[in-house]
Amino acid sequence: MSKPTDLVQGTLDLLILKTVALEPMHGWAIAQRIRQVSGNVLQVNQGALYPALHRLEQQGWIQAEWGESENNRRAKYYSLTRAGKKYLQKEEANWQRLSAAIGLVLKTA
Amino acid sequence: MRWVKSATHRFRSLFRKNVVEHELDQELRFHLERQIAENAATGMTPEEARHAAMREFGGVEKVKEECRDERRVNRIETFSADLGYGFRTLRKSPGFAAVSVLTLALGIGANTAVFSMVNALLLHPYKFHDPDTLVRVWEDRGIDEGYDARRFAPADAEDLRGGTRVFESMTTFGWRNFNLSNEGNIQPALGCRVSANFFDVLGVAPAAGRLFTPSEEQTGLDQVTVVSHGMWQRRFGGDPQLIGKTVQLNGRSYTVVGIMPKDFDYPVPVELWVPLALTPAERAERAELNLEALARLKPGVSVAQARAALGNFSKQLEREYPKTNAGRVTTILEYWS
Repeated sequence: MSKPTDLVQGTLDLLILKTVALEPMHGWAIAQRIRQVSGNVLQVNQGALYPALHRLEQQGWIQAEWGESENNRRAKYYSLTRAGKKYLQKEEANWQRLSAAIGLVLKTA
Repeated sequence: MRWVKSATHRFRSLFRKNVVEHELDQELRFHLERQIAENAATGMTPEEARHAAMREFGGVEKVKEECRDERRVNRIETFSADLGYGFRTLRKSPGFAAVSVLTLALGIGANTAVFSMVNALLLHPYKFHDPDTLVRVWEDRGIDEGYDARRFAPADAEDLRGGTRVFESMTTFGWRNFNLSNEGNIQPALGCRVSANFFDVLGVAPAAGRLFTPSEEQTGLDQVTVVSHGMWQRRFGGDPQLIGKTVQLNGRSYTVVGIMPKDFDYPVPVELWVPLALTPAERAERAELNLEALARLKPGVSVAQARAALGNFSKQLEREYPKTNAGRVTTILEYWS
């Protein structure tokens, strides 16, 4: 297995939004989920995760709530807001377009 | 409702700093503990697990500061974005911008004007003697002439003064613009020509000197003036020797005989008073309404009673002078209303 790849600039927000779209999740779980779902390819820099969460919360795409964690500890759970859902759809479409375009260039050029 | 949430956030970050700080601390602590537990589960010693977790996380204080920055920076960014958006919107629709600015300007202006009036009339009222019995009197011609146009014909006023039993006293006055010159300086001064009893009817005494005498209502004897406190200060530098000195008003010499107290400048914004000396022709004027009048009700006479009596007075004048006085109704209003 190769060394986990650092995230492309600007994709962390998209991954976080997609991850919390499933269910409310705390920061640690978000990082774990991204790593697992990407087959250990994407490694979230933990130092960058929390500033990103706070930024997204500040922008109103996600909201935070304190809840009980699996091991009965208080943890901050993030979930997608209605505006965040719309934003995520738009960004997902953008990403599909971008990666398709890059794929096209790599194949033909 | 995104803006509501983000506003709530900003509010919390601004005013509930301690709570936000505490939450940030708890959040990161939770993360580290989970990571340490995870590491320990792979067989690390507690010490190793802790170090590995810290290493992976990077400096806790650094992350905290970055989180704080996200909130702070956003505040400033959002504010400047709001400002920019506001300016762009206004520039895009200059008509709307102009109307908005004008509306605000007029609103603020009108409020200022109203406040100035309220301030002058209600919050700093003149210290008139017994204001409840003081009334404004004028001849209503059935056309709305506004507050400033509540006037009296001199001859009618003269008749009323001599013939009514509802007034204890009545006084007439009229505005007059002067050019005041003393020691070579000429400046405009807003004056008022007043009957000799003007100050008595209002119940004010001079701060220095004296008021007018009835004999000074005659042309030739009328060259005396009483100045306001403000005028005394502005124009004469508060000269303690002013009384008895001579000034030129419209080229005629007037002797300053009195200075009024600081809080008296009725009718606002008068600067000096001179006697109302009418020529016989002016005194007989009935067509032109060129004076204003104030009166004191007799003790025990109500405004309604006075109105009824004045109605009869008007009808009598109308019969005697139908040419000039047809449709004229003498009206009174409490000074304070």
